[in-house]
Amino acid sequence: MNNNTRSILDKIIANIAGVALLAMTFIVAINSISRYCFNKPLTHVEEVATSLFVWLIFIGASVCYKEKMHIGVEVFVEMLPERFQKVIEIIVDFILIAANILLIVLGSKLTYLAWSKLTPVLRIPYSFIDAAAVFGFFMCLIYSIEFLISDLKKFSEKPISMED
Amino acid sequence: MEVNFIPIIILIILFIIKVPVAYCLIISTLSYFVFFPTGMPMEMVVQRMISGAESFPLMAVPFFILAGTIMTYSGISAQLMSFAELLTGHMSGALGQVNVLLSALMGGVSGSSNADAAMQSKMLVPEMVKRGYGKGFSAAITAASAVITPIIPPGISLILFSFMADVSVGKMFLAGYIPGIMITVALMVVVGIISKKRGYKPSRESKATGKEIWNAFKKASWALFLPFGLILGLRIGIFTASEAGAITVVYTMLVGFFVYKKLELKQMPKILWESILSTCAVMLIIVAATAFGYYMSWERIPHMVSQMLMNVTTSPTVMLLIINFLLLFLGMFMEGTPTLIILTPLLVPVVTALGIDPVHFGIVMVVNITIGGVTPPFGTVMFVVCSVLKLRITEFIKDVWPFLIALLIVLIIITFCPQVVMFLPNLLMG
Repeated sequence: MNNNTRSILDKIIANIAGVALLAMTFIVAINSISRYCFNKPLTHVEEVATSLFVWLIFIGASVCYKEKMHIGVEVFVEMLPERFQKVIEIIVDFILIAANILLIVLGSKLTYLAWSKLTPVLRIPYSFIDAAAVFGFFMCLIYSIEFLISDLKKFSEKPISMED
Repeated sequence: MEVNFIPIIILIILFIIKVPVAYCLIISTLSYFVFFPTGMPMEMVVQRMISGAESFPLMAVPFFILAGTIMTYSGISAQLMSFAELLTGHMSGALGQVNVLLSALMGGVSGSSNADAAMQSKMLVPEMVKRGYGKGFSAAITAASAVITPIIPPGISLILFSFMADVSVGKMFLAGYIPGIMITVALMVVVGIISKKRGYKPSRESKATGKEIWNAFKKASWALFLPFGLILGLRIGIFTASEAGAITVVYTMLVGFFVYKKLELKQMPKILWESILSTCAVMLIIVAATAFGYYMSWERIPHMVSQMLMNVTTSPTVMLLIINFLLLFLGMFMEGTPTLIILTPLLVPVVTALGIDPVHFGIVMVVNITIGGVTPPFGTVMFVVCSVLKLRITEFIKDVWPFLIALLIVLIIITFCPQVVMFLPNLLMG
């Protein structure tokens, strides 16, 4: 994927996540005020907010993936010699690519099967919610392929000799 | 039935080779479905993750993270800092005292120790170094006092624990107060002793006058009263924790835009971005843990773990001691939040069976895990502070041990005197 499309895609993703978070916040805040002050809870609210939350989590998960924000346990790998660390990083890249592909396949199947299952309040197919996982893991797959490529490049470069 | 441990072994191997924690959980769950068919379709794994995400109570997490981020951009930390300095400026080691007290005050707004440590490393430590405080000492206080922030309500760890252990958020919040204040006092005493020895001076000639304090208090009160409002609202049942979070976001925005006037609309994308990153790093682990929980309950592992622990001891005291050692040990290697998410569902049934109040246990667990973040060799708060300040870990370690001892003493007290923790929740929400 070329850089231009990538940066547009990244921007769109960031915007979707930001809007989802803000919308969730205001929906829930307004609902609790309206329930308390006017005794009129808006019944759709919980479902809309939780659906937005699902999208936020899976899109945000891919954003964290890109920023390498996902928490890992570094201690043990850092004890190894550098060359060996790089080999492990590449192995991990392959594991993550495989996992993301499997998750996309499973998520797609789920999304497909959920078409006839309607949500309790809004009566829309569950597919609209399940698709969040497919989308999120698809973005993770793209990033993990990029990581693999950059790790492979780093591996083939000659180690820079340490001065002083 | 033989218990199948292979997914757990895979989990540990993945941890060791630095696969992100969320993926460790997902992959080991998938492996269970691939290699040991239970007859359930494999889409179940993704389905469990989505249903874990569709949770109204968990929305409190992004809301309180967002509120905390808005607060740091809204000028509230500066107000709280000048309030803290008026209160402690006349003591020896004044800026050290400010550092501790500010963590406690910030605890009422933000709920994360890493965020607090990063903020104070940038805001307060340069000033401390300029006035002659040792860099290692300043870093050590910043890291140690960051333990206070998550314990004082509203804290993200308190919310996560209450969700996973199925206890009331309001009770967890109330239970945090006294331990939070105890840690604050203990750390201030250590700061005082060390500062006397090293001759770190007060920053003010005399005690602040009542009027000065009152003025600073008024300015800071928008933040200081927030936690009380929240607890009151939860207590009388106006709102749930998630709704409280959403209202807090709106409140912090209003205060930031119209009262302190430091918050600008153009900062919002950055605030949202930061909040999304810290929310989703945690949330993906939670939804992955929901899927992993499916494997664990299918193999009846929680039951087995509690049987095993109960065979070792049935004394609540010994059990708490064992769990504390286990958590401190894990805290040295792992980040706190994943440990909390993975172990809470395993440990809570054990302690409740022994008659320990889960609220009490929750506070012990959160304090313990947060201390793990400050403990060398691999604490995350320690890494945050050292990397912001460009400080060598060895220099940090030299200065941090007196603070660690103080923290461990408080941990021992709250572990073995449940009354200390349970006093407020029993009094107000019994």
